[in-house]
Amino acid sequence: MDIPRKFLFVRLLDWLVRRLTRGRHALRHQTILKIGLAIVFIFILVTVLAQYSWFTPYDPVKYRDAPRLEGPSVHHWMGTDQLKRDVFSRVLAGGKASIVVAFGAVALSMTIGSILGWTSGFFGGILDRSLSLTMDAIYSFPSMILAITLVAMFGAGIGPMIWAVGFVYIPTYFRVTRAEALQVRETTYVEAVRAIGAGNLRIIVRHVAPNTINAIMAVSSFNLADAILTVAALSFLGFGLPPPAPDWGFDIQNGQKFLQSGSWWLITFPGLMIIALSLGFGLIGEGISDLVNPKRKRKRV
Amino acid sequence: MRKILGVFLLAAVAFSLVAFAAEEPLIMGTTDRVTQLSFANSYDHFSWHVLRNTTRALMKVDENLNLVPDVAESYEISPDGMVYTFHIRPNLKFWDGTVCDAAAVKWALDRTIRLDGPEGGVGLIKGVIDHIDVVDPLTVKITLTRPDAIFLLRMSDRIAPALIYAGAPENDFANGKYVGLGPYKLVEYKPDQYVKYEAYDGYYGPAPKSKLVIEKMYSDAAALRAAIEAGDVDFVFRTLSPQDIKDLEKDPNVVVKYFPPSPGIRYILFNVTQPPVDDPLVRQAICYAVDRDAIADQVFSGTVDPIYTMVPKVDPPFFGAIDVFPHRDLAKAKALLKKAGYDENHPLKLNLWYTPKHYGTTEADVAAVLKGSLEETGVIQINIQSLEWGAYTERMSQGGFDMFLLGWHPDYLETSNFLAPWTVEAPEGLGTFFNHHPNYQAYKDILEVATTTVDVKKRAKLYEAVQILSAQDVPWIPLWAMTDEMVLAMRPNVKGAFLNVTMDIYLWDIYKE
Amino acid sequence: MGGIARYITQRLFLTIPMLLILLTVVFLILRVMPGDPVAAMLGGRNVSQQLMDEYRHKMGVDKPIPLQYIDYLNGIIHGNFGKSFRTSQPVVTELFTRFPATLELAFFGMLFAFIFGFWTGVLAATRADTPIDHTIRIFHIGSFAMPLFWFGLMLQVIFAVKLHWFPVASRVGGRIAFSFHSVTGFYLLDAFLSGDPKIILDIAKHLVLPSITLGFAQAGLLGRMTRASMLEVLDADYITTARAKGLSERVVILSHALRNALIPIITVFGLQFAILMGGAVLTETVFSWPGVASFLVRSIEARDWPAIQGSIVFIAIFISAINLIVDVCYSVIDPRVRY
Repeated sequence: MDIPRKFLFVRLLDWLVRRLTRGRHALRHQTILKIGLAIVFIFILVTVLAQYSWFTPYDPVKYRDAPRLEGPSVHHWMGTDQLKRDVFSRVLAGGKASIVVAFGAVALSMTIGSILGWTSGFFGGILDRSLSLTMDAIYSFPSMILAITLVAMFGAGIGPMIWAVGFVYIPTYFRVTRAEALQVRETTYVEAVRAIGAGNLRIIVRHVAPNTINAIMAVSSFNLADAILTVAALSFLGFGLPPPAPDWGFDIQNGQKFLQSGSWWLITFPGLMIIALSLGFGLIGEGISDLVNPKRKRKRV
Repeated sequence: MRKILGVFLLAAVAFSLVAFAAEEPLIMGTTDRVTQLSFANSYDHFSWHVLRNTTRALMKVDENLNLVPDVAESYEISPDGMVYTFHIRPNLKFWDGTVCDAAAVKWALDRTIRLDGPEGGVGLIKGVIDHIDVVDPLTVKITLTRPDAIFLLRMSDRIAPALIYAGAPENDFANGKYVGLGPYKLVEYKPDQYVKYEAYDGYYGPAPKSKLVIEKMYSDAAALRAAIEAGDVDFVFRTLSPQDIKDLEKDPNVVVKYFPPSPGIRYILFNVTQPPVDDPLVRQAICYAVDRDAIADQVFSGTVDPIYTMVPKVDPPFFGAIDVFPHRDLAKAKALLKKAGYDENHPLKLNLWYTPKHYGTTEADVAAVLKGSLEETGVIQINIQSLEWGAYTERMSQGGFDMFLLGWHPDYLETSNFLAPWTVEAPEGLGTFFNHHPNYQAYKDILEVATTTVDVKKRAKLYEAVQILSAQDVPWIPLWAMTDEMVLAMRPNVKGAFLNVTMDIYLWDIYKE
Repeated sequence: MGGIARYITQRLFLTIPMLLILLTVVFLILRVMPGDPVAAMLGGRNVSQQLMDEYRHKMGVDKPIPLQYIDYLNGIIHGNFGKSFRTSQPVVTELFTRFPATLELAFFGMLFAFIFGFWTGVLAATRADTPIDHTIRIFHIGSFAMPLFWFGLMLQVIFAVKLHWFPVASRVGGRIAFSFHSVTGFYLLDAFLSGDPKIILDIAKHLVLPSITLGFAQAGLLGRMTRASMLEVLDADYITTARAKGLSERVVILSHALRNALIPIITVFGLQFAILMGGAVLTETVFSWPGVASFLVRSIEARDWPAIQGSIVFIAIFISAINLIVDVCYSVIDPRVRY
């Protein structure tokens, strides 16, 4: 199960994670993390390449060049859909919305959530109390329902989806960073720095924020995995990219119409892609959690 | 012990089966929904269908499309066409025993007109009725505001605001709280789930052929198809997906029947004030570039028919339909675009708006195929956009669309209903903003003359003129007739089910063998 | 007992501001919604400006925002969410007729999740680091990565379309609908009350696939937590003692280990329920289940403003109540949290 060393990207990340985790023997024994990274890397690469027409075997949006609703064959590995488009080509190109929205949303919520968390935890007081309560309130609400409602308000498309999904994750980052900031605030080191006369902003940026990076990284991997599913669900409900753009969630919704005609290939393959990509992010999250918190790996003798 | 229990269970099942057989209901499946069981505040196919099953109007359009008296026994029209006198059938009773006489008719019509809900179709009768008088217990006299060529049609069961009922709250929409006198009693309505009917034994007409009927609402075409396949429902009315219709045709346990032609049409509309489609050359070019056959074949598997004018080719009741729109001609389209100032280097960029669920599951595919066919010119670039129905109609009425897809079912069975709405009746509400078009007055004048002309031949000529004009001005592009809606799928033992251009079934004629 | 009472009061006082904040967030989100609800309601019909204003006034959306906010809270306190545009019924009535469906689905989803999650979790923990453990762990992780709607569709294809074991969708078969009268809204309960085996079978069959779909991801999460929790507990002294006493492994695991492992799992129950409600949106959509969640989706599609607002507020209140109950239960099981 070992991923070959020759993957430059994996090595690069290996180095990055090593730096970030301050020299722990980062990827040496992290099979799970490596598999996850490899999956995600391949998916991103394929999705980017598939936006160019030379990469996919057929044009993912063009119709009229094949039999209609035909099962997998030599010419069409994953069959064709009702508009005679090649499912394989659509599956290759269909991850764009998922990946862009997942990264965009996580970046957005990470930024807003962390900043709020740091300040809230660091300053405490009434600000902290009211923010915490607000975040707890949003956190307690079903995220899927919140995302659907928001995206329905904002309208369909990539931008609105980023805002909707991003909004939902803000409390997650807030909770993680606030907890860390609370702890850091009390350390004698910070008190010493403050005694020297360092400003609040400086303390937050230089001393509070870096201490929360590990936790943020672990959380964001899981969030990415979850975001992939949320985006797929939004697209499935029809709040995603407008047709005929290829998109896994939307293609599953489309395939649902032909499910009873026996066209199983229309929903099966996009679904497997979603699982694989989400699993990839999930595995990275598992790996990072193990790294950050080695206790988790404890084995029972 | 176990054996005995098994026998007991079997006996119980057998007993319940027998008990069921005694009053086995006729079950219909549909994907439609009731918006509101209100005569004054609903304006959709299925709500009207339910109202129509449970109560009746002065006139009716019968199974052979004849307009005949119903709650009225007979009628007279004054020579100037301003006063209609209806003689009510004697001994009519609503479900609750209340007598239906002239006063009851007046009460129902007055109430509907007075309440005139914002979501209702009361406008179809309101403007023409001046006042209603009770002459004697069985005679009611309706005075019009102007002579109206189609007043009897307006008073028929096709128009829900014309239906006669009692027992509804005085100042609120009925919401299902009414008593009717139709072939069926409304037993129970559960929103998004089902409507249950039972034959009304006091109905004056022939007794319905099925005593108990359930109309079950399914969430989507796929669930509906599964239901008819499994025999969960006896027949299906509105709306299976084209693919499912094709598949069901091969199923030995399901009979699929087509009842063409369809009076329902689908078309592209333009907001004639929005650039770049404010240029008639652009609209004409699009007209030449759209590929109706591709839509019919690829999206609908041939279950719909391309059309070249808005007026359905069903005569009677729609007369004067002529094909005025051109067939596909890419060279012509390119030439027109060139004339309008667009070529490969300066492409025409356009939005195409559609709404994903309101018109069934195929709409996204229609948009995709339209995009493909227009882009084949090499000069047009289409950006497909969508909004859910509520937001769609809102934006449409604000003039926010340039080119968009819409559909139409007739409100009343007459030609003007396929020409006037987008041009003179509600140009802003329906998003064309045709009232700002230079030829607006011409349309208005012709249609005004037509609707007061009683002579059918003369009227037909006037309607032809409007159609010819429309092919020049292109406020719309007729695409296809919804023949796929004129389909019933039923289990082999179901008899008597059929559809005509009223687009409704005659529920009381349907029975199981 | 005084401790518990105090804790409940404290917790209640914390719930109220949180609910208020949640309601405010909902209000703000819905009021920034682009577009005019009145225009949406009148939907493309040619209506005079005067009538529009009349309706705007009737709906109270012509007032300044702070006043609308007060109206909104006032409506919630009195249980008045207005009338749905789409069905013209009071939103509260709509929600209460649909709520049992969602609750029934959630209950059986949870039941499946608990049974399946505990079983796989205990199995993995007792056979830690064996191939069984690895398989179960992969399955647990995989279950989070599974799009719920896709899983539901796959179940439909295999068990409904191909094998015909279960119905494709909906809550009750077409044939049963006429003779079946729902009293409580919980159909399975009603079916048992009716005593007709045919009805019971039909209702139960309709419940199977949606419950599994909804419970599946939860089962993975619960299984994972059970495994981790069990591993910790199995090392504890009292387990060793129990083993030493010569109790059978089965008894040790079921009565000693599992009980203690349960405590941390119950904590997440409240949160699980929120996720479950989210999953219900998709499950109800895929299986045409007439519940609150699918009502919300339909209302969003129709821009049915009062219904959207009402459903979200309803769900918010429901979730807050569940959280409160779970917290209180937890404080009873594990008195430490109270201090």
